[in-house]
Amino acid sequence: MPDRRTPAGLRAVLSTALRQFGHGLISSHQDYRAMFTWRSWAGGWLVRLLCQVLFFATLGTLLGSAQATGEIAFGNAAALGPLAALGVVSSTVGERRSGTLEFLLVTRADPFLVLASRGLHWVLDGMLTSSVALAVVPLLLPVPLQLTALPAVLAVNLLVSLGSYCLALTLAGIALRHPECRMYLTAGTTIGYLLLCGITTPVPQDGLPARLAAVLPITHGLALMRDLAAGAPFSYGPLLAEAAVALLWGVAAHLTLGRALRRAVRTGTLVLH
Amino acid sequence: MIAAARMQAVLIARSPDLLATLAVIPLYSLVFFTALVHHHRESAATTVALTAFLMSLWSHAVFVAAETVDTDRREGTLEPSLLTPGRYLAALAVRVGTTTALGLPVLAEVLLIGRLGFGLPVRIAEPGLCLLVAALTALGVAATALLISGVMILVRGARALQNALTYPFYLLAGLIVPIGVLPAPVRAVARCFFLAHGAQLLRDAAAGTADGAGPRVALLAALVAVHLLLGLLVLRRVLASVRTGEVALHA
Repeated sequence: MPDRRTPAGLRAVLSTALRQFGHGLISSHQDYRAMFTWRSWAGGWLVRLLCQVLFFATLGTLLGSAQATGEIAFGNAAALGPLAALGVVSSTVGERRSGTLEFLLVTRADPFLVLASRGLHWVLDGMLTSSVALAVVPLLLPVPLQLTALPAVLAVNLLVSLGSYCLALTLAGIALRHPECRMYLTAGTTIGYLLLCGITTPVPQDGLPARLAAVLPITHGLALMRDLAAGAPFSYGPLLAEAAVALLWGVAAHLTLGRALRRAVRTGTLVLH
Repeated sequence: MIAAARMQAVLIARSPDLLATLAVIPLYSLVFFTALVHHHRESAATTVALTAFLMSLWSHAVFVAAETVDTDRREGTLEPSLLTPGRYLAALAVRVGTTTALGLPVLAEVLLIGRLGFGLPVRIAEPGLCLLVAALTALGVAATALLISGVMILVRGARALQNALTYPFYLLAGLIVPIGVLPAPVRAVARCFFLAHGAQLLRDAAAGTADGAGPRVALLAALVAVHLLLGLLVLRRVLASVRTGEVALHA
């Protein structure tokens, strides 16, 4: 192991981590290609996600408010990125089911880096589908989005999606030990996002729901995206808050998916089958 | 057949992950109810409660009931099942129907969430008609699960598209707003879709505005029967292909 305290050692560690991440990204891309063809992605998956946005937007119609329709549509279109990131919970549990987890764990590589890089296609998929939705849905509904603001909105959405990805990796660490909880964790988190983060309903202002909303990815970033989309000037406050939340979940993910997993392997408490 | 139904109920009860859709999807009602309360549209509470119920029923059929045959294939019990003298197709249909029927109590669950959790005026004016329509709709949803089961055996990669079978159909069925607001070509397709009829009849039965519901119930029953027949025929054809070795059971 190179000595991390020396500049050369630190460079070597970083270089190894980057190479490992690159390999993970390549295999992540291959996994995604095995899952979808261009035709099934565009005709199935993308159509489903656009319908998801439109479905929730019809709630605005039921509420009798064009403004609510637009706001719900924007929230749900932007949320496609962070919601897609939750897919890493299933794919990580899939490593266990397909018998590849053993091989990933017996290598000398850091399991956190390996597993985190193997699911990055979910973030990229989410960014792509969210971008398409944010471009297409305003053509159909009165979405409050100035097109010139779209690049800034997407940049913030990338940070939000990465934060959600870190939360999802934390859940993946739990789901690897308790695979029967996988669906409860992902579907429950999806509803938590929709309920607390200002996607479909307003962000709660007091009590435990407000405190939960503050530490969930999406809440601060979506508020900033809404402001930017409406033409307001850029504000660092929500951006820094979103980055802090992402960092918090990144640390949590490292603990559950890295340290705890290594300890489980060492002590033989991880049931692989 | 009773044995098949009992076995499926026991299998699901012993697999907590299979109950996840039933446990979590009804909670979408929390999102809908919160939006209504925020916009002071409490009068639409029953409508969104029924939306959450139908979403749960459909999701449970697509993600759990439709996987019954695929689970048999994965666990290696499909081959011996096909070799037994008993009719596997009938047993499978009963198992899929049993799994789907477990979604029916969600109707009471979402109504209770609205009433007790939010104090909303959720009410069912014609409970008898509502139960009949819910049962017919559940049968149609089970038929959809049979159709998907056949496709999952036949087409590799169908699992990836399983996720795509939710929201487009919720929109097509007008689960939140009636299909009248859909564009004309989509509306024409929706008129042939049993779930759209079931959703509208449920809303009308709940509101007490389903006067002369007889012909509409008959139309719903006919659409469900056609759907069920189609599901059984497709699955029978697929299982016949499996028996003759035209379809690979293992990747």
